[in-house]
Amino acid sequence: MNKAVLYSLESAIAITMILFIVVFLFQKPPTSPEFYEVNYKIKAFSGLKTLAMTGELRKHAMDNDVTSIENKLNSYIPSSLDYGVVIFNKSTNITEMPPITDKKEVISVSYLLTGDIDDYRPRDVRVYLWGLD
Amino acid sequence: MGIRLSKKGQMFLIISVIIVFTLIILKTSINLPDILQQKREMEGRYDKEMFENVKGELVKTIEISYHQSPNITRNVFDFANFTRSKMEERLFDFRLLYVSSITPESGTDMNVTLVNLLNKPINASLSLNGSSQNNDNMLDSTGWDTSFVITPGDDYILTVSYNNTYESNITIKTASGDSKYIGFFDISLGSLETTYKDKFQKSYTLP
Repeated sequence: MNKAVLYSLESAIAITMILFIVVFLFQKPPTSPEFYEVNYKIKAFSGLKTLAMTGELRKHAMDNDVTSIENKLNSYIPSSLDYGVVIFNKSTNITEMPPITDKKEVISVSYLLTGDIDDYRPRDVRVYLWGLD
Repeated sequence: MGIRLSKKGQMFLIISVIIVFTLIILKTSINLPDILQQKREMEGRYDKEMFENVKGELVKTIEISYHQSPNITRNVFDFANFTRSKMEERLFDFRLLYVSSITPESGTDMNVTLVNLLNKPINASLSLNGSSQNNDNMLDSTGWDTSFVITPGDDYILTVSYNNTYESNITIKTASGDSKYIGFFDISLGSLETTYKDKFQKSYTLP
């Protein structure tokens, strides 16, 4: 191959490498796994808070109805995650723990409730999220 | 000359590799503080949401216990203990100073309760209309019940203080013929990164 062509090819490869790296590095900012975890917690908590503002969370929690809470949280939690809701009283869970398949990467958020009119019954409505990989 | 020309191309490749590595190192070092800052902000946002939850439900405790006035302060105390226990599980530090007062529909005795959930014993003092009462070495997670003489229809300032380092004033508006409940909250919720605090009072006319 003639030297001028070789020289041009080597230059083109060098320029392409630099351009590729510049585009790759600057297309979006890198993030850390802990960043995603906090983000998921905020999403789950926002869902609980929205349900609390409408009164639905309080009603379902007093009825120990985790299924309704889980169904209503569906639109707030990324579909790539698995999740389950458990209701706790002062000392223990009063509904069943969800079947967590990935015990290494589990996060949870809690929404505390005091009870309902003339029915003081403190509750911790906890959402467990897993499958964070 | 021929040799120099062929080495020019290789020099381009070598220089491009050096530039690529330099860009990667620069990008990583520039972004890391941004990522850490964003993470701190998000954690702060989450902590604030939890603080608002706790604050809202403490007030709600008064509202749901409204029809059973003897239970109001007890329920607030109980819920505050519940909150502290749940927050400790998440490595949050929850602290509360709570003062409640109930003025009667008729009569002159105003019942006052002070709850200490500050994680430390305090030398507490309550003052109203020139009259002071003290509770030295009031332990954490305890309540102190006392009373003051008032004239229904008059307004008062109840001063709560402790350890000569803290003082707050609570406005007490009374009304002849109405029983009123006032709850004063001084709350803080702290994590490793942030601490949120608030001080406020809520007033209710009891049925």
